[in-house]
Amino acid sequence: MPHVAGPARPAAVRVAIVGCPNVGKSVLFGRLTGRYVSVSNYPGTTVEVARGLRRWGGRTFEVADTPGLYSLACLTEEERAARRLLMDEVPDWVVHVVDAKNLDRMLPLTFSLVEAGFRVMVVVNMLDEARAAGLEVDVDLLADRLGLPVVGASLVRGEGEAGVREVLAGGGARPPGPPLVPDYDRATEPVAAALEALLRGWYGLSPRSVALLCLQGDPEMIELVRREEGPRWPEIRRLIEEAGRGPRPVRYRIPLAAHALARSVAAAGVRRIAPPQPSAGQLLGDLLLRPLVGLPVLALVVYFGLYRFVGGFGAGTLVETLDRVLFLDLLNPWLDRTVDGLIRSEVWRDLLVHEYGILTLGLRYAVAIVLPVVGTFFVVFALLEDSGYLPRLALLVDRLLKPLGLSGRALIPLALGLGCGTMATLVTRTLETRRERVLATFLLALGIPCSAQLGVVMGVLAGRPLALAAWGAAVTVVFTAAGTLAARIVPGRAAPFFLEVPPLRPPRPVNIWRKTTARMVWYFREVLPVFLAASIAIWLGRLTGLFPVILSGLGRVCSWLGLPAEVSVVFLFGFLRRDYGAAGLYDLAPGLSTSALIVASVTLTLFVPCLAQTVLMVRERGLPAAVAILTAVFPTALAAGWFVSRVLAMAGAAGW
Amino acid sequence: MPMRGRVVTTLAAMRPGETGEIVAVESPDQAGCRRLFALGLVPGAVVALVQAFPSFVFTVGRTTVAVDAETARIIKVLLLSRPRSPRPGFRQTSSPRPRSRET
Ligand SMILES: Nc1nc2c(ncn2[C@@H]2O[C@H](COP(=O)(O)OP(=O)(O)O)[C@@H](O)[C@H]2O)c(=O)[nH]1
Repeated sequence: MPHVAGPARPAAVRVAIVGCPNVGKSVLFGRLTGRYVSVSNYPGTTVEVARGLRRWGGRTFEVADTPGLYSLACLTEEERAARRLLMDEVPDWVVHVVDAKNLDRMLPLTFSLVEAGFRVMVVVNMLDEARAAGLEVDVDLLADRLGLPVVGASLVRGEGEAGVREVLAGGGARPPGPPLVPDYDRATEPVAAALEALLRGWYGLSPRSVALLCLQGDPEMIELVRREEGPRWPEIRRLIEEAGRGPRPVRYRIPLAAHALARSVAAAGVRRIAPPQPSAGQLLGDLLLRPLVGLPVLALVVYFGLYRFVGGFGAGTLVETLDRVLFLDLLNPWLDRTVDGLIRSEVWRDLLVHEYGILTLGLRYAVAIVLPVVGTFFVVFALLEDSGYLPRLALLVDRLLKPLGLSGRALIPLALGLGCGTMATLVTRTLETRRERVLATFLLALGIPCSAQLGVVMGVLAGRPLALAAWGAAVTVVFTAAGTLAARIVPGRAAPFFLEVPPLRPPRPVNIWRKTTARMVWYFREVLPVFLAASIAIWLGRLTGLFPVILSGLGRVCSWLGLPAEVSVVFLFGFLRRDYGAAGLYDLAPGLSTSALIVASVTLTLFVPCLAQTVLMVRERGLPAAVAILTAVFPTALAAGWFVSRVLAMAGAAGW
Repeated sequence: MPMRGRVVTTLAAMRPGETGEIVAVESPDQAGCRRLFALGLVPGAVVALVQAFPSFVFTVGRTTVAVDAETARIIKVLLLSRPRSPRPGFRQTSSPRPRSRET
């Protein structure tokens, strides 16, 4: 922070990296600061702003990596976060990263940044991919035309990094002349000038930029201006309304002028020197767009990725080894003995060890049962993410998600929900309308089993393919029915679907490793305290006699579902943490009949989300929406469980 | 580029393999329009439809974009070429007539 530095030392140079999703901002950030943030291949990864400090060229730089920004006239929460950062902090440098292959559609943002008064430099990234596409980029010519410092780069290979540092440190060739900005037409300029002249407030953006954004109908900016400009507001509003009138209103002409100029600059600066050589990745990427190829590949991904790797290896081999060998055979008996030797009081011993202890239960569940499953899932997800496969899947399933009021975009949070519902609830931010965010949050809370549940369900139903199919069918039916119903009830229009499909890139092992570890660290930081807290809650509950009361209540629910009373323990734990409850089921499984296992698995999968997810639901969607979602989930889960138990009983499978 | 009359239609009515120039984006709401602009779907841009099912997939410049049918219907295009291929819906990589996408 500038205030911290003494007067003798000049404050850090503040640099903001901006640009569309997927252009290499995170890679540049990592290279400039040496710190890692999630690097990935689908729109909407860097949800939060990452910052890093680093010295070079004799100065200190504070670099911020902003969420993807398509245009200064923003639409999503992420874009607004990026713009707010620019407006609040007014960085000394704005580094606009663009994709060399798509200059024509990225340069309009460069113009907007210049219009807003920022000191801009342009990084033309992905030169390697441009070369493979047979394109030659004339960086000097672009610098000349734009009147800005321009650096050509292939950031994943480190190419261009030195050039960026040099420009930021004040070196590099000075571009001649003022930066290029669009001239708007005769209908637009007078309105823009009139509006600009009325603005007195401080916005962090130039008045011209604020005027242009208002004329384009940007709601957040208009609201800001209404509050800032008081007495001048009626006149401003008149100008804005005027800009929306006519067959070719001013609000459309503004972006069109910027795009036309961008196209002429791109046409001059990028030449085709060779026919495009479609790479193997491109051909495969095109094939995956086709349902006949994409859906079988999806089946393979689910079978090998989820069933064999997460279910078989993660929930099977790894859990078996860690749980049986490490905890049950070695660690727990030793812990029991050690603690019993150290502590006299029965009550305090029970807090730490024995059946429900922090160490023997909380730590064991977190490390031995949940971690292997979540960890293997994150590896699979990172592979799919980094390769560019997820957007291809999104466009295949868009039609299927439409009846649920969702668009193909929602696939990313829903799929991530198979890993961790809490993290997925956070990622629903990338969805465009509030309606879609609420519906996705609801479905995550109800019908998407997280990897811990999935692993345990697969574990307890392993070797009983029919039971697994029954569970899958029941959950799918409830998911679809509840989703369809919710889409009818929640008011609003269907979310439109449009998505940029990035090129298929071979996943990079470094990225997979970093992304998986970053998520595991996040998960562990979030999960371990809750597991330990849950252990304490159980201890307190038993000590105060509250638990037996709740358990007997839940026991009645269980018998209504045709389940033995011990399962109520699982439900109670599941309330504290959904995966925790699932892990408890794992312990009970040997004593239960198959049909009881199916009913318990179905109910537990649909049952209220875990504590952490509930907290996040309230934070992200607000209390009323969260309460509404929970009130819908609870009876749905019980009704579904009851229904399944009836169906199984009628099918004569009760004792199965 | 061969042009057989000036057929103005929507992206939703194009067939795979056809190219067209965007003449207008008629979104009922301003926001949707701006987002499509940001993806490069501006009047004057040339699009080539890759497939129409399950979503509309097309290239615009060097970007591949997928949209649903509702969105495809608000993008008005001027048809530039019709494929000669007797099998619509199937893109042949070894087509004798290269699709001219670069402008
Ligand atoms: N071929 C190539 N890929 C790159 C380059 N820079 C970044 N990438 C890849 O592009 C993807 C998106 O990069 P990222 O930094 O996450 O983009 P962001 O969304 O702008 O932060 C990642 O898979 C990177 O590995 C480059 O210069 N060449």
